Amino acid sequence: MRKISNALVVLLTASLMITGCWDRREIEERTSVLAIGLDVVEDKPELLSVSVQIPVPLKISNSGGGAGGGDGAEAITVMEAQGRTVLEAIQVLQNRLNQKIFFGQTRVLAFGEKLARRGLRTITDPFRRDPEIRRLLWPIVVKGKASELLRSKPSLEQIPSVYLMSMFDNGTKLGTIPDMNLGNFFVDLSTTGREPYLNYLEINGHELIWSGVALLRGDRMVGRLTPEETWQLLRIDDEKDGGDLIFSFEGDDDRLITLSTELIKSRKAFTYLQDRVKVHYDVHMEGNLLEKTFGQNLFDARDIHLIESGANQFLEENAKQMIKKLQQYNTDAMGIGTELRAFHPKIWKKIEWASAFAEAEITVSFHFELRNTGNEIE
Amino acid sequence: MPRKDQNNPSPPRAADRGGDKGTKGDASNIAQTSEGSVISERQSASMIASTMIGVGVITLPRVAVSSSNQTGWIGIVVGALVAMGLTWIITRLGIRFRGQSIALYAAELMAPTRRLLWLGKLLALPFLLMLLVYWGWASALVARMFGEMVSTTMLPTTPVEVIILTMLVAGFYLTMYAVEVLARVNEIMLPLIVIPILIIAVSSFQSGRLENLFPIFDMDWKMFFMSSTIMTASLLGYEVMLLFSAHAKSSPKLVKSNVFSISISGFLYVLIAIAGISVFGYEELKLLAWPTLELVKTTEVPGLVLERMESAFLAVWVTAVFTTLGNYYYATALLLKQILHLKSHRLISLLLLPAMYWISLRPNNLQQLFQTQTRIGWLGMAGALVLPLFFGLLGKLRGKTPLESSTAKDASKGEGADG
Repeated sequence: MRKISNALVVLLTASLMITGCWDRREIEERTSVLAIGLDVVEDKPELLSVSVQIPVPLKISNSGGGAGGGDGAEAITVMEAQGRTVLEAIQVLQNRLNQKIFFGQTRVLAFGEKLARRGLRTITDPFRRDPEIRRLLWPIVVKGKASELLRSKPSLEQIPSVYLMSMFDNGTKLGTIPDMNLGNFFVDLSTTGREPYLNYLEINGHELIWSGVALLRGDRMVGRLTPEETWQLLRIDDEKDGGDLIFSFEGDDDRLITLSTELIKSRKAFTYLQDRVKVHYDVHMEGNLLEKTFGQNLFDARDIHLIESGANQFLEENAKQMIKKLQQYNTDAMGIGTELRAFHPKIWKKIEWASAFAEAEITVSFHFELRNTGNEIE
Repeated sequence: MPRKDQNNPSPPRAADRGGDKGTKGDASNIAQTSEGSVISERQSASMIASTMIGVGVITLPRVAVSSSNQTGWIGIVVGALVAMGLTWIITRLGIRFRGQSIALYAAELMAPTRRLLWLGKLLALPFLLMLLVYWGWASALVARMFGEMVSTTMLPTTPVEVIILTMLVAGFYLTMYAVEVLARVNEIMLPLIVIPILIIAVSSFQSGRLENLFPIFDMDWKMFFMSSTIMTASLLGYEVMLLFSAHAKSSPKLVKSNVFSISISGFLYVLIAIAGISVFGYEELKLLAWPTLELVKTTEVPGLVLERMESAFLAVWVTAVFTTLGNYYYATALLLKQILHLKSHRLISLLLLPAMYWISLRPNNLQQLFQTQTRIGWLGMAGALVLPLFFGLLGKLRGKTPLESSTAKDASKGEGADG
């Protein structure tokens, strides 16, 4: 009798312990959202449009290459809904879906340009709060509508979000695309002395083109930088490589030179003179000659020097243009304010950065060193 | 669980008797130690460190910047130094009154004469109650914090009550055993807590920005004191040694190892705070409910296959919470036992379980929980600060002739105290 009761106790305790947990939800019981797109609704300003990209597991062809091999069109489905808030629209979407929406796999958060120009702070609020949302996903501003990005069909991948993700992962590794993930965006949004920027994408048919960054003041988009200008920003602020330099040799437009940039070192000096902040950047870099469109031999010390000074001149002009744009939009995307606050608190306390940035004198000088002119010997 | 309890009562009880005989001998009026001197120096050090490292880790960077922005980590350094000083006093008191806990030597130090020991007990009671309330309340709040954090971030549909109860029952289970077991559990758990937190703190520095930490000394005295006080309160935990030092082996290295243990947790806390500040900046930190968890989420640990580190981190964190909760729970039960002069703390421990559960559910929301935590932190800080200082000073003033110490008791039998 006693044995039985003991066994019973053990069984009962075990049944309490091994029931599993409340939050068990198998992968097939979830609707994973890979990308979220947020847009304004053209004729109703009070409404938001939220679109989600959902992969269709059955349609994703792996090996075999049978039925829908090249037809990536069906591998995803895009659903769109409208609401006054983001979550209201998602609620509407949920009502149309058979499984619970799951944001743990979301990799892309796209904003339509119009929405970005209206302000992003309130819209990103639910993404701050939801623990499913990862801080490493990519927020992007899309020229036109974000839902178009979700519907686009890049031919190399079945799922556009995967394509975008690898594009951004590789771009940040190469130093050509700024590493602006959601976490960094949130940090920049709340940091005084640094204005956030977001990667900017254009869609051309089924092609996705990274075309620089969208500049924000506060949480509103105010302008954008071209890819070349973004690379200057990356080189000066982040010491990232950026893309290749293409410029005309000795000012001759028929003689073009392409250089790579590497090993960038950026130093800055602050001074405060006559109520004006002066910032000077010294950027050192090395690079190789990758291409030239003329037959001249370039092994002379004088020629190498000419290439180097040509590169410096090109970089400086480009940087000047970029800085002019930043000051014109009054958005401190380079984070000069945070540096000033951190390392020159005395200057920082004397000025009002919001107005002082546009008036500051920001200069950059580049020092390019040509390391190698290539394998070709003429 | 109750079965287990019935099976096991003999070893602790045996140790109980053995300990009493071994250390006390004729001290019949003070049946104090229940397990004898069983805690080694290393165990004592790990007990301190693992009590200190608890739920606080998960909110630490935000708490650190709350009053002094980017310089918040300096407060932790000061807090750790204060904790070291107090631990030094506590350990010295423990060594001087070997085999006695605060419940006993407080009464001795407060009693004007040997015959008036009851008066000393009465006078010491408020101090002991302060500790008791703090320890009991803190263990309940630790469970609640843990429950809130897990239910908001990991298990949204699991009732928070279930998580709290699971944690409390686990703590209760630990209190069923002898102090020696508690010490060994702490010894084993400490590396499991320290190493992963260290890895996460170090690997998150790669996404940190140096400018977020500067200017380093940009604060006035008010801010400095405020932040130091807050951080001293968040580094509590060493005060459990007021109680457990009674079971520590008397060893010359005890002071050194106990003080060293503070530097382990202090170092870890400073590292986590600096990592948080440099990655997020203080302005963003103030917006994050669980900053250390966010830190883990933004960090990609190099060389690890796992992409989502937060689950692994939470698993580690559970052990950190468990040791804190277990130690506080045990201390509450043991102190209550000593105040009430009971034979065993097990029944008390069982009775404490529903009380703690009730206390843990008192705050209605996260905001109230954080407020209660701060308030209890102040109480604990008062306890941890006042008790060692007061009794340390009292011990110094009363000099070489306390009423009785376990060694010189016979010599000072007749009203030895002179003032």
